Amino acid sequence: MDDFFPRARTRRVDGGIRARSTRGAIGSSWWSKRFLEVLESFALGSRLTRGKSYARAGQVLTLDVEPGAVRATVQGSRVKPYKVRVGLEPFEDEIWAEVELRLAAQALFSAQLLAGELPAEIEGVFAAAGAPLFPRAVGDLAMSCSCPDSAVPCKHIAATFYLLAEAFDDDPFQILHWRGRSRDELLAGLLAGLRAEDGAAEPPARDVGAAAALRDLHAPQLDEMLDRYWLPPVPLTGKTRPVLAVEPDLLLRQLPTPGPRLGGKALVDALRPLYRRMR
Amino acid sequence: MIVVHAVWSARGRLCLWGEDSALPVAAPARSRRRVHPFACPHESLTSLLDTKGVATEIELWVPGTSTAPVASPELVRDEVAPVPARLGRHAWTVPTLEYEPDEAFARLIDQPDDLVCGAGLRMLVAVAGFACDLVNRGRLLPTVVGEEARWSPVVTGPDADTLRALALALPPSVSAEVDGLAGAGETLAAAVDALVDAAARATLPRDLGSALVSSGSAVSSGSAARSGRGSGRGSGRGSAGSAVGSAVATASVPAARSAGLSSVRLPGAAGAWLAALTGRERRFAASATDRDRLVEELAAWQRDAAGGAVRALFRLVEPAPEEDDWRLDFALQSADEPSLVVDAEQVWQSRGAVAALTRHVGRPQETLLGELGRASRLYPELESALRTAQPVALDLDAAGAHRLLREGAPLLSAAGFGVLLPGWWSRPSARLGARLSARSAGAAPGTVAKESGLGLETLVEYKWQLALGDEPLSEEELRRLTALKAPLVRLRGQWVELDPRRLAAGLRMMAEPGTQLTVGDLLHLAGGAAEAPGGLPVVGIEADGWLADLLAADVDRRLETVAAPESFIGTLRPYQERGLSWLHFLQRARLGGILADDMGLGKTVQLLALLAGDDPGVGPTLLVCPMSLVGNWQREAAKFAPGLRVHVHHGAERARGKAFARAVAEADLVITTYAIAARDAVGLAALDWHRLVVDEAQAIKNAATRQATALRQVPARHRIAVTGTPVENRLADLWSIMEFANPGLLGSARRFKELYAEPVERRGDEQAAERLRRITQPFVLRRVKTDTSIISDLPEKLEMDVLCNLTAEQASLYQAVVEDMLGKIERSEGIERRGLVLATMTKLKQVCNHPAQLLRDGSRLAGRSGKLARLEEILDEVLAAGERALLFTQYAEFGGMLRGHLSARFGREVAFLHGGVGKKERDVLVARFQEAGPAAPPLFVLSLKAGGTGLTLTAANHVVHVDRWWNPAVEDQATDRAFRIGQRRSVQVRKFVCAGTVEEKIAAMIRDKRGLAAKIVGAGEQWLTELSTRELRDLLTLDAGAVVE
Repeated sequence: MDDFFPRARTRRVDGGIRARSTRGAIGSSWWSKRFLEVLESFALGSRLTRGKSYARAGQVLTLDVEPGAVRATVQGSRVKPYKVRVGLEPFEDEIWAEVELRLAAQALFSAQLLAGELPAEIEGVFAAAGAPLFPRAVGDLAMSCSCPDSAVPCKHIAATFYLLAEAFDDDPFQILHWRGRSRDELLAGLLAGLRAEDGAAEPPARDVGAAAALRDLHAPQLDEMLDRYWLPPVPLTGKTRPVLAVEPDLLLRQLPTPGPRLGGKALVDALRPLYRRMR
Repeated sequence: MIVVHAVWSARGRLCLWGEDSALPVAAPARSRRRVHPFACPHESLTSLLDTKGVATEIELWVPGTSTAPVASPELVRDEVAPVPARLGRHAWTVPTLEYEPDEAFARLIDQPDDLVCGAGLRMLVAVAGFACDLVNRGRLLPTVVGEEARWSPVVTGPDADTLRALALALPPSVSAEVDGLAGAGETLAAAVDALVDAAARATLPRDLGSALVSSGSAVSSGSAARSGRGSGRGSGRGSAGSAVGSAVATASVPAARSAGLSSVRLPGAAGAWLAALTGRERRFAASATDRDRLVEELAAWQRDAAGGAVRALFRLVEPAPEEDDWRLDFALQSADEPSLVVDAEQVWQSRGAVAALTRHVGRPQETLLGELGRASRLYPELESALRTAQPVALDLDAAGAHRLLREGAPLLSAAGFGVLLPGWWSRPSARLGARLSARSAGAAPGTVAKESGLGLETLVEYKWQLALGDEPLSEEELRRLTALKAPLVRLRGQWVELDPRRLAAGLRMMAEPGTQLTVGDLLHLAGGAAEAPGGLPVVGIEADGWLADLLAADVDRRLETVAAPESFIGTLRPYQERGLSWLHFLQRARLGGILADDMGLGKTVQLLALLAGDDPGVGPTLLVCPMSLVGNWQREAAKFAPGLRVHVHHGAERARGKAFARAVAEADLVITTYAIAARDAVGLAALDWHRLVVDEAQAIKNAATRQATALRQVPARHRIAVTGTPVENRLADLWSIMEFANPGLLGSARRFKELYAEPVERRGDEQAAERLRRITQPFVLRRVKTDTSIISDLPEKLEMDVLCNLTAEQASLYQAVVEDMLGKIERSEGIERRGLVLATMTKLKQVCNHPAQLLRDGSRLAGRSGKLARLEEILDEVLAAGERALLFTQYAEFGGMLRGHLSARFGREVAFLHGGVGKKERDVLVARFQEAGPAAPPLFVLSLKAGGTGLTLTAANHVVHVDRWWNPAVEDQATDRAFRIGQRRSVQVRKFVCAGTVEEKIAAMIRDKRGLAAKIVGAGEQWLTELSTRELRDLLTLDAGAVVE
């Protein structure tokens, strides 16, 4: 325990990952809440809470999710940050195959995955395939930290859990990734049945910006039009097709949740009032 | 004179420069610096435009020769430059004022009207308006461009069409910077991107940005403030590099709260980026890696915003008879070819590519799934259809179908998905509505019984009734339907919507059917612009008597024909008689009207026939027209209604006070000008007018002008506006003119803008346009020449003399020339005398054309010539009707001035053919004019010598002889350029003469004794030299009354 060490003081950090929530519970989406619920059900309660202030102070320097393990570096009282690892067994290929089969039975899953979303119901699909997405017991999690604290989880691991929960808010696909499949890998598996052997690649989506709408416009070059230099080559007719009157923030509603580096849903909340002002 | 031009530079700036007609046409042959010879220096640009632009220079490609660049058509010079045989392009250095996007947007969106600008600048003004509209409708997303945060447009559907049209209309001069952007497309894309960003920021003040994200992470706005001249860039960069602060940004500043923003926390780089989306500073602090990640995630987030080549289509299918199972079918549709639709079933049947869609999409099944996923984000009910592996449709009950129709469909359609709904949904008969029957006070159709107590305020008898579909509905039935509580019900085989709000409104209406109803209310109800009491829409109106006539779409054809009175000299064509009947009808109903027949259909004679039939003692008519038309009205009145006592109220010596009242009391028709009407408003309003007519009513199209306000305040029992311009296309003008004719009919100007002008002009709202048409339709009579029932009785060639007035400047110049020359002629003889006589004629004709033609001083043209004013009025109508005109003059230099002035005045291309144009160029000009498409010039100025013979110019159906050759054969030959084989329309020929001048006198001689005149005048102007000095004096001296100002 910390008390073994003479008044060790946590070193302040600049540029760490700071939890977004400033008070109360951490985690806002279904996924993060669910994750923290699972952890709390392991009766880690009081130990877990100690990580909260750490997470909020920005002591976690890095957080990486990879198949089978979450790794983090957390600044504690020593100069060298502690290394945290939370292992969780990735699913076997057979299990993934079973999950994919079940997901493919309902177009909803592919449709939402393709649109950039992870439907909450997917947890039930994993459960039905005999492979619960979240750890069932504390023993499923292989937690380790390079700090001298012998308690598991120590506050560094706890802080990591909170930030991991927030990472799931921003990008729920991280949970699947932890379990062994990225969004693209999962989609590829899911849609393999639909893709023809020689299936052509999808044409790239159109970009934002005026140039996208002017692609392959045939406008004559200057030298072809020296006598029309001052004049509109094809004057406007003044006729326009009607446009629909819509709410100014329709585009925001149309798009998926922005990625974690954009702040996820928080970005949309920040932009919405700007769009309303543009009216 | 300075013509302002615009270039959108590769640096992303608006560059404005100008051509000055006072500078030399060519550069010195051996000058080392290639500075454009007649480009405005910076000082004159700054004083003409503003001080916000940064003085700089750019290099520009300009067509022309190596010493003389070709001037823009808008530049008026008093000499005609020869057309070089071969155009090359040469680089010229041009002084410009450069504007950063924020200033550029502010400048373009608020362009002063009185600036003479080239087509390129005019087009950029239109582009700024388009950018502003995109922003207002939220068609933009925040992005990262280079090191800056930007708002980028999302241009889809109709917006993409508009953008492409703008790109094709962009004159090459806008993208002519040497080493600039490649072509119109790239230039326009850059300009639209920059202007959308600027337009968005114009709505998002800077303090909002700093409030949104707490200090530290964004470039602090204070240190990065620009000096307004763009020089602050470097300092902005400096602070940006050092300003990377804490990793989390928070908005908790009071300003954010006052702006209605909640506290927002975003990760570091994103926070800085978000803050840089408002205010002027676009750069934000982030490491290159962070920025790259931001760009990546933005792209992933916005991937679907612009839509792909193929989109989902949702088709609502109604249940079979006796059933209640609605279905929403899924399909894929090509975005570019909307008729290409493949049903979901077919998509699933084929593994991999679908034949019909291979060109558009490689993995149709995946596309369909993705589209369904995206659509379910907006319309979550879709999810229930996605429980199977291969969804093809969503099953709905009536309530679900109703929710889709009401809420889902508009949202999906606005987001770019294809949506097909059953046709009945958009029909008003599918809903509960109200029917009205109105009764006029006992009169036979086609007539108005009593004159007393009519007008818009007249009360009518009426009765309201409920209606569902086409059937009337009793209150009892309504109660039963309300009890059903079903949103969609099949009634006698027809689906109808039972909206609870409407049902409640129906019950309210039956309980309180309203109290009073006026004719004006009735028109609004009929037009769909007002609701029945309780809030139900009106689905039908029945009326009898004159009310029925008023509500009919073809009121002029329903009315009993009124024959022209005997005091009218002349014959009315059938459609003119119908016009007269309509005027009578409105007069008896105490309603005002707008007579808006196409030019050449005889609006003047219809009015004169009405005036001639006035009962004696009814009171005088006040007619207000432009100065240029006073003489015309006087002459036409004398010709067609000689019994009318006409008083012309104009000039400095016009009668005032009691003398004017006496003159009015003794007149039937008082003619005055808009300028005088505005000046003498109080005096005019104090008199008792039977009728008030405004001719060329475009003069009061701007409701705020003095003349418009003054004329609205002159009381008269009957008010008529006459115009040949189709008012229904220009909505604000229509309001102003209708407010004159029928005050109050269209409500306040603000409400009109809200209800009609903005929906119709901004969004192309057809329903709003239709409502407006129906309300105004009884009061606007517009027949067009293309209407077969009218053209069949029109002559093929309609020739008319157009009498123009001199301006005071023209008159004094004219008199000075006459005095000076007559003195010289008196003192000379022989060949010298002949020469002097001919020179005098030339000078006088030049004065009649325009003072600037005689003076050759390069002075401005607008507002100084009666002929030019009349020509502009006529061309206004020609262009508004989408027609084309040939303008003949004998003077090439005047032709050049006309071309410059008219292309600047109308913003349209004006072709110009004179003796200096080679054969090849001439053929090109003629071919382009004849192609008559939207890209062809609508106006063609020709010098009589160069263009009088040989050419076929049948694309024109108007010919104007701006000055006269006095040789009918030559003039007829010129006229026949348009009036020859291939011409399918009637041709209107106008010959201009200035009233009271030698022009009018010779025209009268030719008209009165054509035989003799043909002999003496046939050879041009030689015969004049044979006249005695006294005869000459009679012929040349200016008659009194020639000037009207």
